[in-house]
Amino acid sequence: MDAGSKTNRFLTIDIARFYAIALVFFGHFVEEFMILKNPAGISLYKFTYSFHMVLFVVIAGYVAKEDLANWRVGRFITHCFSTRLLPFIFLTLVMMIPPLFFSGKFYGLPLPSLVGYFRGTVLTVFGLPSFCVPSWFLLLIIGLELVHYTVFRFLKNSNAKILAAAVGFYVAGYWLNLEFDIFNPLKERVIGWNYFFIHGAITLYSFYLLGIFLRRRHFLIQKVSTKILVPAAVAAFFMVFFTYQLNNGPFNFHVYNHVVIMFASYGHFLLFPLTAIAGCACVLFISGMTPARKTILWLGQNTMLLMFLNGIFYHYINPGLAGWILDNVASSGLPVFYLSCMVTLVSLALCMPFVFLFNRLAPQLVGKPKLTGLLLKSPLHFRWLPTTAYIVFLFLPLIPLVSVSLHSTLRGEMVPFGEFTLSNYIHVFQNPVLTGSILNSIAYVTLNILITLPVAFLAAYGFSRYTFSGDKYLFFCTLALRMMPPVVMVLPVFLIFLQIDLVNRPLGIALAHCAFNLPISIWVLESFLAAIPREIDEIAFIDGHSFFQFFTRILIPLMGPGIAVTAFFCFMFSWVEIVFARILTVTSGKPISMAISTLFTFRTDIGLVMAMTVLSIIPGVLMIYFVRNHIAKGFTIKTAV
Amino acid sequence: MKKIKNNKAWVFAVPAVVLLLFVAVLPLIMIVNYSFYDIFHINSKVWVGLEWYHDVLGSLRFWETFGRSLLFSTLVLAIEIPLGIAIALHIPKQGVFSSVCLVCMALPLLVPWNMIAMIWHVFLAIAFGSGWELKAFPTWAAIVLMDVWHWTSLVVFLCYSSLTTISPAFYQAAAIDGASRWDVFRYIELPKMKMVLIMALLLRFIDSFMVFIEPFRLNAGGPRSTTTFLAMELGQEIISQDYGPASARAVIYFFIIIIISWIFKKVIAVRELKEG
Repeated sequence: MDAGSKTNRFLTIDIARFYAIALVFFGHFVEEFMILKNPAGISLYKFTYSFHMVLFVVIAGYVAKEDLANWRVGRFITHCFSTRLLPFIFLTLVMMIPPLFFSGKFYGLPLPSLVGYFRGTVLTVFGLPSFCVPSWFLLLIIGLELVHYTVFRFLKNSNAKILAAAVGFYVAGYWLNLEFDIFNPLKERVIGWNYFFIHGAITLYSFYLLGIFLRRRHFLIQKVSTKILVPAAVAAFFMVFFTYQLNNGPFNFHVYNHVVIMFASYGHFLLFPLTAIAGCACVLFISGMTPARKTILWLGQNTMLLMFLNGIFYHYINPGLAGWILDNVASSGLPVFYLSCMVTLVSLALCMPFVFLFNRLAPQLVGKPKLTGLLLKSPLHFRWLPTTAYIVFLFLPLIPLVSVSLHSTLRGEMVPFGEFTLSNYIHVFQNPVLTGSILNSIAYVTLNILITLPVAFLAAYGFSRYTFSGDKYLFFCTLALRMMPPVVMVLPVFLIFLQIDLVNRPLGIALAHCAFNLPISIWVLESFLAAIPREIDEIAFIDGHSFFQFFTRILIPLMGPGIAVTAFFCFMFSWVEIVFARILTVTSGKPISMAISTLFTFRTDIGLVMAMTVLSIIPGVLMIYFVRNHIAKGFTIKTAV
Repeated sequence: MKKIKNNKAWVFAVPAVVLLLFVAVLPLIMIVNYSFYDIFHINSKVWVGLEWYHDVLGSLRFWETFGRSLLFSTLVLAIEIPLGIAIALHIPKQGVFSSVCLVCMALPLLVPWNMIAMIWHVFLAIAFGSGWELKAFPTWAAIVLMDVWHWTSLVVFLCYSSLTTISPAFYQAAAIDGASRWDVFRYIELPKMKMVLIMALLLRFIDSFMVFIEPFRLNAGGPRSTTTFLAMELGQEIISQDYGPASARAVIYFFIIIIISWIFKKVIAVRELKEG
């Protein structure tokens, strides 16, 4: 990515982007002075924040794709994903690593800890990127592009429309924010709902449109004389200088009384756009005068990466450094300004090797999907992405489960509270009731499979090979019985089993579970049997096999996968079932699920409960591991309901 | 394959029929019987005729709960079936990753049902803090999400196992014809999965419509009964030993499920007829 290698880039805009990202670094550093209540820091912060984010939006409008509006939805989503969302996800994951080793400023997130990581992930998913706050701008860009994609098709024909829409969006967005207060962290909400900062995107789209308008008028794209640029820049600067302090107003965010775009607080209704546009103009004029140096252009082209790398400074370095400077070096106006500028430049310089590395190793992951890197040599494909994302979703609740089971959770034990320990698992195996319950579970599931399989196999064979009077009705009736909710059946089953002494015995549960396992097994086995041609039966009989021999020597080996899959289904529904398992074990013979229930007392050892739950999953995992290839061989269900 | 007409084949079905008579039909008959009585004790009961049915069907609370359960089943099916199909389409047909997928995806299915809500309680407390239990919308979202977490894998497994039976020749032919990804799905994969999907749809409908233990353990039907479903009402009656009304309720639920399943079947049959 050398300067000028992309023909459609405007040099002035890349320079402006460099200034914009420098202002972000600068702003995030003086923010620390502001938080420490240094007067110079407060002024510098207000000055910078009054326009620097709007500048980014105007620049984004400058380089916006106008034909985006003609794209099909699929192409737009792919574009958004590969150039914005994927870098965001990747870099957020990268930014989750440093908290493991360094302590930083994370606004109430206890990092590194499971709670901190989970809360942070939730906040990030709902739109507030907590692991790298500066990266919120990437989400805003996605929001802006969503708005752009939706409405620009109606505006593209006339510049007058664009300007009118700019005013309209500003008024509408401002009103929406004041009226509905969509994103206000001070309100009592379980989670925020600021997806892609869509509320901010509505207001800020007006500045995006301004950028598009300026580009259409070739503003600063053609060379402009320094004689015009210098006085214009000076005028714009004074404009900002005289108005930024006045920019107070009806805010959404009641902590800082000035412009903070991230919290949708824009200050004064008229002064905010005035100051912001003046600030943007000032930076753009200065960019027009700046010679196009390679380094500056290169940094300007990598603002997204720099935004993330700024997170390192924002979370770890700036707070400590700012406090140290105030205490030991200087705290008055101009020195603070000079030092902040120096820190900004040093920070940018420190980022450069990382920008270089990311671009060389894996440009696909940082928003350049068409390039290839040294580490990721082939273009990205997303075939594994849906399954991986789904598995991650499945694992999320299981992580705390395993984690809790591996920690001491009871006060006053030998192991201190909250320490890593295997004692929960040791306790399980020391407790004869718990180990007995594992054996009980295995016993009744095995019995259930041993009863269900032969019975279902015979019936399935009958259904698949012959028609007989009432076969359709019989089939439907078995399925109808599967539809009986277990809660319904509990009482009579208990009464019947009490009469014939099946209560408190694994056989009782095994028989009761047949009520819902048998219909499913018949259905699954029938579909497997239907896939085996009947000629095999006939040849076997002609060869002189008896019916029994045919079953044991030919059919059952052929049906191996079918039997394995059916056994897995029986296991799956039976192992975890609790309604029958509970009612049919009054005093003894309790299975795992009921043994866990008895662990809940007024002094519950939650770690022990979780350890037992983890152990209860393991037999099933072994089971699915052995039948996985049979599931993959597939079965088709041919018989209609 | 043509089947042989032979009434002696009933013999094959006899063990299954006997077993089902014993564990399912007999209890069902007993429930129907109980539903006409007011039961004070197992040996002392009074015939009350259709009174319980009248009580249950006439109460506003029943219809509210019914609507809630229907909404829950609709939401759950609307998420789980398409999601399950999408995931199944993306599992590779062979290789290590397919094994990893199958084993990992089976995990939620293997957790004892009384622990599902427990696990989610811990997870939600860690991720979202406290306070969601007091509001209806977060509780609904949590229950739906929990069911999606628990049961989507079943849909995935059923779809995946039928997808693996599609011969590669079909895909090759489609590629030669220049069929789009959507065409391949619509004309090759979906017809193959149809029967499995009906099975998944029915299983998921029955189990979500009669969902009991998970929402009960998560928030006990609250806040203010906004997440009380049909089976939870029944469960409460059984716990308080009102066996008469509970039996009437059970019979009503059974018929609701049979009727809705029958409507499913009819709708599918009509659509087939139109397409055929």
